[in-house]
Amino acid sequence: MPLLENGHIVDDAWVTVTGDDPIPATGAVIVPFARLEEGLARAGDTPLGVTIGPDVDVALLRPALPRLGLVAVTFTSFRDGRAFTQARALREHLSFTGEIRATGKPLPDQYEFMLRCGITTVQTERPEAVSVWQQAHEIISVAYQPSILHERAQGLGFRRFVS
Amino acid sequence: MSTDTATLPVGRYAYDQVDRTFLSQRVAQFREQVNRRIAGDLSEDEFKPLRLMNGLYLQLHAYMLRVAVPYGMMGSDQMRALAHIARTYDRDYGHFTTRQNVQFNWIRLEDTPDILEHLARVNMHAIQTSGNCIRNVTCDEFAGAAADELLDPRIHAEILRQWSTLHPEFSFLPRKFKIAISGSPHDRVAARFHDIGLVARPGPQGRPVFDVFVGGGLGRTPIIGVQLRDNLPEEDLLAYLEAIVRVYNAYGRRDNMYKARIKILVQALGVEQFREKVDAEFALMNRADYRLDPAIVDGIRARFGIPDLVAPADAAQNLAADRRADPAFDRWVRTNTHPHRNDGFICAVVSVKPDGGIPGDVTADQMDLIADLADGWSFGEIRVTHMQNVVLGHVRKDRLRDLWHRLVAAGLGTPNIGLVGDIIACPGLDYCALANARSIPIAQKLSARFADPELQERIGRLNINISGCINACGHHHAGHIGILGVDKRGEEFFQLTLGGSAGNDVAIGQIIGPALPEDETVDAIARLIDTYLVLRQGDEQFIDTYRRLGAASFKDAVYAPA
Amino acid sequence: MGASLHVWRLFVPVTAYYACCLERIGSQVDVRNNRRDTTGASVITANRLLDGRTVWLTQQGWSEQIAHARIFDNADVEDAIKQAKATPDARKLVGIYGVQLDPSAAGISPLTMRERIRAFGPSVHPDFAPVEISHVH
Repeated sequence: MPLLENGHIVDDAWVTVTGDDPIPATGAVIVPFARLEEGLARAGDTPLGVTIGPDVDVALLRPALPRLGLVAVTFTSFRDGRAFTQARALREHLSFTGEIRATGKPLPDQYEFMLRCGITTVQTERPEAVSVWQQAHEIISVAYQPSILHERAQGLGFRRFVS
Repeated sequence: MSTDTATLPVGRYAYDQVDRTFLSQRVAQFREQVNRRIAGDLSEDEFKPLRLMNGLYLQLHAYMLRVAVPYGMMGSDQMRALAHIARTYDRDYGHFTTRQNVQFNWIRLEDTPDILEHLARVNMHAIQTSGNCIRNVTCDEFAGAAADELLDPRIHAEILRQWSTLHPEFSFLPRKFKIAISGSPHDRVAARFHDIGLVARPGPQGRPVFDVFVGGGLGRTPIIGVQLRDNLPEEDLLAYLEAIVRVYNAYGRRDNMYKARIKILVQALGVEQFREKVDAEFALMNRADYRLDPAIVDGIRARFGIPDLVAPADAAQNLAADRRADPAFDRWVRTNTHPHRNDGFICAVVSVKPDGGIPGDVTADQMDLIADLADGWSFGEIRVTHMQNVVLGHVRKDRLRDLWHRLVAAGLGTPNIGLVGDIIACPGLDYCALANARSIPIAQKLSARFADPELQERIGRLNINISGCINACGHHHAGHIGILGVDKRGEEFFQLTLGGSAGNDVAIGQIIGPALPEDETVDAIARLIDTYLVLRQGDEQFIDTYRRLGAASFKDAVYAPA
Repeated sequence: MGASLHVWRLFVPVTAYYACCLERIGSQVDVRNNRRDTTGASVITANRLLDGRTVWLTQQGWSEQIAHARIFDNADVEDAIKQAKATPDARKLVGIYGVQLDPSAAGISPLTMRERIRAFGPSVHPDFAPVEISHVH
């Protein structure tokens, strides 16, 4: 599926480097975590992103974070919820403000969870139509706990309006 | 507010329009998911976690729907809705579970959205009664009523229910996650057999503090939880639980489902290192965001109805006279009631364990009757217990005998609470896809064999817990006598454990020897009990005799030639 | 039948109709469902997607009565399971697998207690034994 942001398809400004492919010298590039040093060594201020697996402690990104415009977290399976904790830690503990992209195989039904943990874009291998993702985004308007989005409180307890 | 208070449901949180909107949206979402499954857009493997998060299992004969009873509390209107579901969509009965929920065994997938819609009309749901998420929070069945209670834990149970509902970070944990909360120094929630057990008591300035136990559990690897924190201030409750579950979500094993519970992580890291990780996360958190402000707690508390406990001055005297007049009633009061904090009231336990019956099963008619009795005797409030019984929490002492007569007439007055007939049993192989052996027939044979109420009282406090497989839904490790069904080449065998306990004297039952064939198990337990009656000293209970003498004294009885 | 005569083995669950389902089906099926003697006979079972009811593969379609089930030699049952999974009906079923029969039983009866309960209903409710309602719809 194409890149999804706020329930809509958007153009992908980033080039993802996989495996041992050469890293382009210019342009916005996403490199694997293992090649982060190589990416950081590129000349100039060209935008850099990194893809991390679910087992990476995001605190390891701390030194590189000021140079990173994007962190891609990975749902190797939709059952593996570690990417939620990684995304939330990037926002809450590391104050990362760039794009957090979900990759791998998350389900549309997890979209709202992703957004509330700080994920901003989704590039999924799933076959569902964008409308399924949009609906997953819009179908529930109430949440019961604080999130990094700091949604508007709704009366009792920790209830929040999500939209 | 005061006019509203009169209509608030006693003992549980009153939904408002926002909560109802959420529930109806959640039902619509599930209806959509079911449609995608039926259309083939979701595979069974993809659909499974989605249906489990709405309590829907596929069992041996049909789908099973597990309806949440948050902290075990429900109202008479909700019980009637369950009766309606039993009649309309099932086979006229339901089953109370050890997590204080209600299950229906003959559900059709295509009916489920309609069932959930019906439940939502009475502010009920099946959210997170299954799946690798934070499950229904369980609570003391005498909460808000017990004489020994320091603090009513239901307010915080409701706060935890809300906090954990569709939690964005914690809906795809390595494995299920169970929380229990108690406000009594007498542990009736098995706090140390939970992923997190909370024991609340009043702290400084009248605000509660919590002892936090972590990493307990039954299942394949029974472990007693360790105390991670004492005197946790109320305002840090959610932040601290967030920190624990974050550490678990990040580091819990995902490669082996049998090693995925938090207890394995706590054991692997050691409690000190686990605590360090939790403390580090806790220290990093923006705690203001998670601060449980007293105003928030009081706002939730204000949504709870409070029973108007007014009894005649001679209520207790009347009860005493009633007991003298009727030995059968007197026996039932001895076994099936619990002291209330108000001297004019008492907690009544409705046994859902008739002699020879199926533990926890109630017919639709019995559900309606329980609802009527709750309206007539206990402010419309009903509690499901982890022992699979029902409690009417606030019964006026001078009206208890009338209640008892009605219960007896409906087959709900068996005087066996805490005794040998009060057996915990999972559904077992008669229904459950995971089970290796049948639990219910063993429970039926045992309770029929020990039906004599005099014999039961003479035997005294004895918890027999039966699980049909190692997942331990029947809490066999925590039973004074535990029975675990195992499969040997497709046939049923039963392994006995002795000495387990879920209370303050928490202990894991120890295996006494090789598993027994199905047709020898009940006789072996009968011999075991006979042996105890011979060996006991004075008023000793079974568990005391076992602890004094050890397993060796019982082993010969179990394995004696038939 | 002595336990020592049994050769318990696993075979890799295969689905033909939907290649990307391999891993999914694999995690769906209980390991117990794949145990089988090298000799003997089996029937094929599943649960219906829409209502969850236990059904058995017959000569034509699926029935709630094991008595109507088609019997396969164990040597042939793996292929038959593959074929069953490849039919359009499979989309309306969950967890297709083979069930070994008890050679000493009168009539068609599974060897294990678990499958006997699936076939004949919960032992604690004889009144709920399966009755024929309909074939796959």
